[in-house]
Amino acid sequence: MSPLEQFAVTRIGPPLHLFGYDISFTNSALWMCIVAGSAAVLLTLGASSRRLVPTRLQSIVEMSHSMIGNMLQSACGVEGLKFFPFVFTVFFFVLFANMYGLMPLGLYPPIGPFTVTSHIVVTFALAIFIFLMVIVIGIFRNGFAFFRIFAPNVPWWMLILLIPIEIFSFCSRPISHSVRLAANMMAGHTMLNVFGGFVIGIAAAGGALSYLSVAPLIAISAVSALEFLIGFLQAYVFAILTCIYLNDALHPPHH
Amino acid sequence: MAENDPEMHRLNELERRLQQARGGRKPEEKPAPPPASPSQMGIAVRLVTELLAGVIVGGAIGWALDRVFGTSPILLIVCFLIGVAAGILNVQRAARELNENNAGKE
Repeated sequence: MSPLEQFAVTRIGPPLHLFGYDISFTNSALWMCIVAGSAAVLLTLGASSRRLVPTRLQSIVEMSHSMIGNMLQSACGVEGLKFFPFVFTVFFFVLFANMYGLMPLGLYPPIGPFTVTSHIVVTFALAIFIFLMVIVIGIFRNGFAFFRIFAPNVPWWMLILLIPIEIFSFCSRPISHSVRLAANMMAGHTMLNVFGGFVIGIAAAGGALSYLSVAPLIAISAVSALEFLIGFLQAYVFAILTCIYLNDALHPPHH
Repeated sequence: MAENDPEMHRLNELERRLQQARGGRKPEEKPAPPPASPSQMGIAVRLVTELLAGVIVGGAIGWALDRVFGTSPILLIVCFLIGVAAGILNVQRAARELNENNAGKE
């Protein structure tokens, strides 16, 4: 089994076509539904008890609530809190997708855990939506002054060269925003799978050599722990970059 | 705009009442942000994607404009070079941001 087979998108259920596009239900779509549904249920459950002394679930929800709130406020000021629901949703979608992908049951491809965020099409869809949202909100709130983010504070003859560079730099945001998340997820899962292959390969060597397969097994445990950290960190980075980009829409720099 | 916003007004009002209820105590200091110190690998991936994103966007825009205007390959070359410059600008910004984060921690 190739280490990349775990990323295969397979169809579940009957093939569906609409206007010439294949819109069949896939394992990717199934896991997106599971991610979104379970995140909604868990957070609602945690928030619904409203006890003064919180239960564990409630305190997780409250802590993440204040974490995202602080992040948004430090990046975009109090006005940014209007976008709290959006950033909170994005953060939890990415976080849950990363975490579900780490369940070690990927041996059964059609229904086994599927890391939704390891596909660049998913992360890019999120990133391009945020990118377009920033442009629309920026123009809606600041009018033409929004375009000042393309004009750094330099002599006018430098602007001829610098404005195209700034525009290209701005356009590259959704790409770096999405590639970073997808590449991190894919690299981690491929690494785990390759090490898993080592365990089986060395154990099959026979004789005393078989005992050496403990080494990659230990490595897998360590890498899995690291992957949990990366899964959280990448969700955090994705959310904080969303805040930073939103800040450009709310407060374009005054040059 | 923001000042006349009813939502903002409500928020400010809530802030004032909270202050009153606290009896004029100073608001508690913000808790430290979670320890988001990326690994060396994370920093490397970050900088590489920033550079590549600029180059890819430059190349893609140049290629598309060439197809529209039929001036292949002049615009591709020009836009590619601008894209490289944008990528380096991205890397410089990302590196400055990382430095600021580190400086704030120590």
